[in-house]
Amino acid sequence: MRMVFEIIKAMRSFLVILLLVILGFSLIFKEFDREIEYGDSLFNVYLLLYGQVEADDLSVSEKLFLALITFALSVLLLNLLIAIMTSAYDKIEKKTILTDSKQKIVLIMEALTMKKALFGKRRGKILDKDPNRKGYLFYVVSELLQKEDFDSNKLEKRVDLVKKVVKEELNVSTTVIKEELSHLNDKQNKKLISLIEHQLKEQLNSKLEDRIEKEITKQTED
Amino acid sequence: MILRNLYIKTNELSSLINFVKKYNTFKVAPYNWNLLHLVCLFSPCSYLIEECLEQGIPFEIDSNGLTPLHFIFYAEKVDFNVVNILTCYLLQYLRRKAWKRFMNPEIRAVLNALSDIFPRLFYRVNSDLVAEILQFSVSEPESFGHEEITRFGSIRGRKDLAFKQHDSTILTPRLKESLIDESGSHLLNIRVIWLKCNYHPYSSDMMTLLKVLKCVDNEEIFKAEVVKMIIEYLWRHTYNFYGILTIIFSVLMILLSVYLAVDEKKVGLSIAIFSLSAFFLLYEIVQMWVTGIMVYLFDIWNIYDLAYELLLMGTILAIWIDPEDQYSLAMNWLKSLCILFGYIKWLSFFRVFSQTSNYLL
Repeated sequence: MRMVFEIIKAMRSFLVILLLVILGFSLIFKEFDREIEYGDSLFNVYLLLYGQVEADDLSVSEKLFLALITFALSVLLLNLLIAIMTSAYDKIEKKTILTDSKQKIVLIMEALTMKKALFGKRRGKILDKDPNRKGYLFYVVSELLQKEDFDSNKLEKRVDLVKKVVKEELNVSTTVIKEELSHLNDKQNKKLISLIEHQLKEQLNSKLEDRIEKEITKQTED
Repeated sequence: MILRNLYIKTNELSSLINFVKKYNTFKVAPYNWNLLHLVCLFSPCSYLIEECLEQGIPFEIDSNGLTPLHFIFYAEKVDFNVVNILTCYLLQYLRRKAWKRFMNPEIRAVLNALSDIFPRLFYRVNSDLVAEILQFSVSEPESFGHEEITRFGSIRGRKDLAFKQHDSTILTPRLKESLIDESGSHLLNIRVIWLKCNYHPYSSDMMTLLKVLKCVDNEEIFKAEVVKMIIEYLWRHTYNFYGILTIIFSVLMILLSVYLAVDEKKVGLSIAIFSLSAFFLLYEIVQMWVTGIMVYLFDIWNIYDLAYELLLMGTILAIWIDPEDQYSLAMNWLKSLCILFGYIKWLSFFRVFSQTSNYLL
């Protein structure tokens, strides 16, 4: 809904131009064909926007204007409209996380308010009064692995995964160490830095090696 | 208090700055207040706070579990500049301590203390700073004894994501068992949000957080893992509710479509449609009663829903009052509007489902 509204919002000024073009040309066609009602003339010009052209009964002058309006509407304005819509869509896409999250929050708030009012008002009050209910939120995310990874060589793949995890941790730790060392660097204690760096890396490497070994032995035992 | 007296007597910034320089290790024993606490409590001005930071006075928690930020927030007048300077300092402190981030008790203590004022951070502190602070509030849990954090297994209930509130940050065997089945073969990522609050969906903590997040306009905040996960957690609690509503409304729309498509008007069908639309009207009335009329009417979609239910009930009644179709043009308009607005509302229900939400949200 938001996307549709945003695109319509972006088209506002374009629609004014389109309306003026249609109004102007409908008046021109009305001048050439006095018998036709103005409403019909307006609707016929509007239909030109979608390519419905009937030029059989038209005079040469009318055909000239028809060529002009079909070029203006179908070629220029319609392409401009598509460009405006694409740009509006891109803008919305860039803000997707923000807008989606906010929409979700509105929906959650509505549902929770209703659920609390209908089913859980009393329970909710009790929970709020109980300070012991405060706690920490744990969550587990499962990263689904490819089936063939496990079918081909289960242990090997698992060890690879452990290595991957350990490598990621190592990268995080080294960047953190570097940051900490750069902090120390300000104090111009370079000897101490190299010593600490060496010791930290050694400690980290030995810990990680132990961990990989443990994981491998655990897996082989399994 | 020395600082207060000094401030009242002299009211001169230079003498206060000199005081901070001279007594930078000053502490008030029973409360565990340092000069930063005192400055935030009695004379929270940006120059003095900057001087405290220059002197390396640490961002500490007092014996009541309050930080200097608490004192600033609880002050009568809140200076946003001061709040931002102090938050910047807090951020530097967190960054410095972060190399032991996984189990750092100091970070844990600060985040615990900040849990009370967590929602206030969103509308009183620069959003970029908040987004960065939020990055520190999620990490691996503490292991139970010397037990390693589980890396492989599957989530109980064949889910891709599971949540559980727990009193401590330790991944106890019981908690682990309730979340994970270790015989599975998926790569698992177990995390804990270090902000201590009531995570029950109906709790006022969660409602306050949602209200604050509703007003946030910085995308970085919503990209933070902690915010993403809390929204996802609450979303999962509301998903079924919307699922049921979607099913009921779909039934209503299918019945209405059949009712208007066939020429012969069945009593049973019209009663069913009337009852279902009465149910949705009742739903809107309850919503209006719970949220308050002004809040309810502030949202254009609420007005739309209410108007639609009234229109639908009115149309069904009109069909029964005018069985010979004396006012055919008016009836045609009523029926057409019922179908048009009904289908728009029906579409709006599909915002809930991930497959269709991209086009409708």
